[in-house]
Amino acid sequence: MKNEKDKKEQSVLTPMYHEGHTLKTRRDFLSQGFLGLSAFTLAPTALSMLTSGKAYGAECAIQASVSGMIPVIILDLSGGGNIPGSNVMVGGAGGQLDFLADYSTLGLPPEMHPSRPGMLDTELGLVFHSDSGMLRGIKSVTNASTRSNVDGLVWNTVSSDDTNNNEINPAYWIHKAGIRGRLNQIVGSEGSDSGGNSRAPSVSVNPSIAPVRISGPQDAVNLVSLERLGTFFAQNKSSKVERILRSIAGLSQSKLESISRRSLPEEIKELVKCGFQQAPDQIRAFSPAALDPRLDPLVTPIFADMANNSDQRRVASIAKLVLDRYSAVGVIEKGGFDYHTGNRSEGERRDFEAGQVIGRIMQLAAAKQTDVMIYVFTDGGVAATKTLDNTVEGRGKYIWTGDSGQRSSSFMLVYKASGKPALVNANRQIGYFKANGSVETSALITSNSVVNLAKSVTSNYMALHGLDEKVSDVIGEVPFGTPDTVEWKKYVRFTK
Amino acid sequence: MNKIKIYKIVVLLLLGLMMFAFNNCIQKAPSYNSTSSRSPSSSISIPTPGETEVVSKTEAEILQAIQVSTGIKNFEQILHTMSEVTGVSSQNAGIKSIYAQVQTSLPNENDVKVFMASHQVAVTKLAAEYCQVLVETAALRVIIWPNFNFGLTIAGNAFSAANREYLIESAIDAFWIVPTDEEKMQTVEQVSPLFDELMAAEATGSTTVTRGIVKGVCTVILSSAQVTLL
Repeated sequence: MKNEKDKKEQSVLTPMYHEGHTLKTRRDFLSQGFLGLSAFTLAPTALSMLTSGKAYGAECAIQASVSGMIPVIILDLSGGGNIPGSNVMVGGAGGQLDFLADYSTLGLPPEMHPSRPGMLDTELGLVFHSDSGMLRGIKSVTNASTRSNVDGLVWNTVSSDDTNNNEINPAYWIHKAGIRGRLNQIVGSEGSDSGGNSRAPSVSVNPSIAPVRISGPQDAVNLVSLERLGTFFAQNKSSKVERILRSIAGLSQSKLESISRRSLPEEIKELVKCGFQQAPDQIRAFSPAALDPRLDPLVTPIFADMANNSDQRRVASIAKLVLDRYSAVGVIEKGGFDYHTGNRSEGERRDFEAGQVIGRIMQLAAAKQTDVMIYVFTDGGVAATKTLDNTVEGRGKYIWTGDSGQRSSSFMLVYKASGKPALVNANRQIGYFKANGSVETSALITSNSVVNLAKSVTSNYMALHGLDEKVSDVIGEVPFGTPDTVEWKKYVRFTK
Repeated sequence: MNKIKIYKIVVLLLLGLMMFAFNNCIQKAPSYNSTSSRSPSSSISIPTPGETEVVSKTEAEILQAIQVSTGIKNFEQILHTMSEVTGVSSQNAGIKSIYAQVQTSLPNENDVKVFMASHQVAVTKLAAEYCQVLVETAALRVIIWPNFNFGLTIAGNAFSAANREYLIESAIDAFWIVPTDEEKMQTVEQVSPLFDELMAAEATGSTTVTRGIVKGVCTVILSSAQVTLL
């Protein structure tokens, strides 16, 4: 009876095939449907490895080597803080230096207007207000030689306030562009699909490379450490631990094979098997000490307060994983940016802290003699009213009094060990502000779309590697034309 | 007569058209053309039923679209499942300490699509601690392996073929949900050789070694997908 029932169920589930249909086995199925997944990058993702038609063990192998693309760290300032005007300078259609008449809603009193002497700082290429909290934070932890090798871009884009619904995080697309980690692909400080607070564009989310959560050094060590297991034995500990993990993979594979295709389709089954299969490889290939920022002599002087400061522990752990290429992309959420608290001091303090995060990552990249791209965004923005906070920490600036997603921006800074990255022209601003201090939403297609913003950010990352022609393969529809056209250069300013 | 023929032809044509329109055949997927202009691509082309035009889907879109009814236990479920099947309290100091270390590394949701090697490493680490406490606590281990003499050593034939089978089958009975006889037989076949590898170079007269090897085998059975899948 059971067999008949199974047969009946099978007949319902089995599709009718055209004559000559070749989908006979799992491999046939995979090779038919997924052969095209072999990406142009040096290292394909897990699923594409699984579908390459190679033997199972080889498919699940961890990355022996990785591409030389620029490591990426994304800083997600949750709550909707200030970026434009008081931090990164923004202007009208003419660019960062096409000053608005009035920056009061962006937090600057007339005496700090960017047209006044000494109010601008161009050391990072991207123009900052000279009293920017973020810039002061960056400068407090970097040296001049590091800063001289940095340049950047600012995007003026409206985003929604105080919500994680902005699909703004480009982590998956940047990974798809070709950057690969030896150990895992995306690490994030939060246990979310994006690794941070704000979402990634839904079309970009690839479950096979979902972020691994790293909240401190122990999480990094945990990736490859099985301390207790080793203590079970007196001899040949590491090989016995590895053998145990392989036995677990073997048993688990048997279990997975017994689950029906209806309950667990083959593609997902292969991905899960790969998780079990890679565990012993991971343990064998990497040592806990190599992943521990507390034991890295280049990390400890820069993140000197790791023992007492959880923020430093988190940032140091993710920065080390990414800069040492264990991970491809890191996402760090930093909370507390909903700082329209009726004063200025709180916002200045938070901005300074964010700047120190950025600066420490840059300085660590310099110490490790590797490049890094840091992309900073926030969910929404803030508006100021014309009341000065004359406290020491308020620095004589206007107080933040309310949310304002119309006054939102994001920016990217790129450090290259060999010197400042190249730009196609001197205009580092994408989109612009209106005279009233809000984003001109009709300026560009990125001005009112965070998904298009993520596309533009990804395109600039690819342009840094001369991969402009491959952009459509990564982001799908390219809404800003083709490389080397006037339209393209409105959105893609970096070049190789 | 002519009218009847015409009528038959029209009916046959209509039937043919209906069969064509309502068939649910899957058309053969096109082979990947590595010389196409999209060759360095992560997107793929999958024809959908009833469509002749090829629809391009990305890897991400494919994985998102696949419906799965099997899940993976999340961090809390894994903690409590292991506690339940081993009899070791999740409030045990050693368990609490390891759990605090690995909690963020364990799966944080039930979506099996995002299961990764780092999750399995954390699962194994927690399982090892449960097995450590279980085997070191006589009152608990006697529940799982009532007929195994932990006073035996390798030299005293602690891991004879019969004992290996007993140790494995007893752990399966305790840790897995309703294992079949076939599963048990296959598992004994798969795991038995592990004893030899774990015994290699270890002292043959030590009961500490005996317990260590049982802990290793316990960890294998407790960390497997049979325990962690939903």
